[in-house]
Amino acid sequence: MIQDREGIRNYLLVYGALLVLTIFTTVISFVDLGASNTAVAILIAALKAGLVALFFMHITRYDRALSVILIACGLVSFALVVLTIADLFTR
Amino acid sequence: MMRAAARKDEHAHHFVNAEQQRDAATLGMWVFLASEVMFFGGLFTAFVFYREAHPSAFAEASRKLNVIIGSMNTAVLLTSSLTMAIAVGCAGHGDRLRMARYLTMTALLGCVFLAVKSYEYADKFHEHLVPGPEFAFDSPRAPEVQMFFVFYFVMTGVHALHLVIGICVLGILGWRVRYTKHLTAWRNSIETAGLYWHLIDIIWIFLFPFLYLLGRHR
Repeated sequence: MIQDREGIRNYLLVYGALLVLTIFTTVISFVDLGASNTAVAILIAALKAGLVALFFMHITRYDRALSVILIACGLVSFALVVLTIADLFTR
Repeated sequence: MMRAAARKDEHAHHFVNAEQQRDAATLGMWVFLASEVMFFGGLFTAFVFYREAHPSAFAEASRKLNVIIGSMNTAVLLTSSLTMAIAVGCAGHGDRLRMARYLTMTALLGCVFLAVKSYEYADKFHEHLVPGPEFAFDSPRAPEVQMFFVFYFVMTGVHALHLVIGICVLGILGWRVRYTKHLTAWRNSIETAGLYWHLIDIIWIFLFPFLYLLGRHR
């Protein structure tokens, strides 16, 4: 039961952090940071996604087979997204 | 037959034990989620490509979206992820009714998100911002603005479709769990449904800044 209460408290903390980050990214988008606006928006989104994957999806609790899938997915996504965008920005 | 086996030993006959069955179920869901990430990754790449080609038109189009509604809807979806995580947590304690309540709550929050989204869509129809013959935008950059709205409707539309599927799954699970006598038999389904739901949330976490926030400051 104690574990249960602790679990819910952690969930609420992560949820609070996600809400704060949402408000922060919305407010900061109205401030002119030049080229950094895009970087900040993507970084905050990645941070939020990381929080969800880590604390809500418990990504670290699964066995090693998951890392094979994640690495494969990461490599394909890297080729698909990062290499394409890198090509675009270095023309 | 299979269900009877599942009830007796809590795992289907082609698995060695319940733990192996659980691993297979979650691993299968993770494979599916990886394919989803690659699918949406392609859409995001195409969006970045067009945005880079027409930055000012995309910024102009982005400002036609309602950022207050967008951020409120983000909060709704984050709340649904919280209730989903709590529901999955309940599975470990065998708290049947509490789990059913949280599953239903998650599905209802998904419905709230869709309701707000359809209000936004209706708004875009009234403003003639839906791509097609009715599209009208008073600017020399109208064709590029229309391209932004093609991305907006395709990306949010596909995301909404995922939500509709998720809501159906959670609705059914919530209802079945409430009346089941064998909660452990449902544990895998609830855990995999939870993974799926959190991924929908993560996709929206990226959709929101890309569509609503970039180009807001100019």
